[in-house]
Amino acid sequence: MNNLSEDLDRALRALIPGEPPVAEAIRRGKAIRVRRRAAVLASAVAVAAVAAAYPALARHAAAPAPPPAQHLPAPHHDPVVIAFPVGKMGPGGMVAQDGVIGGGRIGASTWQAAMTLAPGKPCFIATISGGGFPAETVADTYTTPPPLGGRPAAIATFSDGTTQTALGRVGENVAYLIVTFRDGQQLKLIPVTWNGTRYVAWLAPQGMTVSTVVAHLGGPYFDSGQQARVTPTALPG
Amino acid sequence: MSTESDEEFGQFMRGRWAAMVRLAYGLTGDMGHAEDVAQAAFARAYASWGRVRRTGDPDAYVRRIVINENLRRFRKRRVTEHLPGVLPEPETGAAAVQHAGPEERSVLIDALQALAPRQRAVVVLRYWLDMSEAETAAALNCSAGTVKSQAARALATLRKLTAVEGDVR
Repeated sequence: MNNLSEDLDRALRALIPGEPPVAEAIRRGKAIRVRRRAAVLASAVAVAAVAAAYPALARHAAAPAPPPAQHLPAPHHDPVVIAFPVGKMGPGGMVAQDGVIGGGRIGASTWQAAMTLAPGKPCFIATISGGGFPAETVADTYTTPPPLGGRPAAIATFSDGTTQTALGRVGENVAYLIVTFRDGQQLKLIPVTWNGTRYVAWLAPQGMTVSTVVAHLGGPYFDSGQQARVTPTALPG
Repeated sequence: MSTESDEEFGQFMRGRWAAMVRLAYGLTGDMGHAEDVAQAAFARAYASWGRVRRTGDPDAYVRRIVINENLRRFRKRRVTEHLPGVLPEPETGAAAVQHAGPEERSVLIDALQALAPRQRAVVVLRYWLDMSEAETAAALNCSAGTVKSQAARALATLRKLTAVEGDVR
């Protein structure tokens, strides 16, 4: 296909675009940053309000999960990945507020994961801010995990090259998920219902490899003691 | 962002603008959309410039955004998108694609525009950016088998449409 490659190269290189609109790109870029900051601020307020309203839940969810039986290497402390409880309590489990299905920290940075309809179709958006960096979107995709098909959870992971983002669809029989990274750090994720579907989400630095994802079965607010392993699938974001 | 960073971003954008517009044009088949997509990609890069710069490969970052942005627009207009079946008339006026030389509009470019959007994307990613089947599949969120079949159909169409030139092999 060398000829096609060469012909394409010649044909496309023959196109001469206009002058680069640098000032306009900077203006739009600044507007994007302002919107991201506003979104992060709104989610931080929502998370704080939920934590204040449900202190018992927050303490429970934020508590570190019991260490698994196998020997894991001592956790590294830089960066520490944390997931906050989000949503409000409902009869069928936690329910998303303003579409927020996950939130937490990576070191000094704050992350938030949310679902939205854009337009009329579920869209997953994850942002990260703070830690000396401007707020930015690290995932913005219509790609969502596949149907469960009898599994307790289906998890899709995305990467923008520096941050890995995960979005999971979770069954009704799951109480929570424990994500264990290879360095021993763990996240406890309580599913949050948005638009009739239960989701979990997390963000982590690209270099942190997920070792296991374990679904603790039972149901909303109920851990039966049964567990099931879940295998995340890498998808383009 | 500091003036120094703005200047650095400006230099990067001026240096890579043409390449990104060409990529976007190859993907969208429309110069107006191509410049919109490229500008949106650079704006997003500016919004995250500190981190983009630290990746050491801002070009790859912007290229990825261009591909994703094109996919997003493709999804939005998929309902009304159709395969014309015949070559479109050459554009005229200010929005027309300009060529460096005096030659007529490239037959290959016209043929590309006649492809379905996903086929066009497969051709550009596989044969212009020289991405592997797996990389193309990942970029387009489809299977390697789909890339292979779409490429085969696209090449057959290109051969047919450029038969007078006989230059698609």
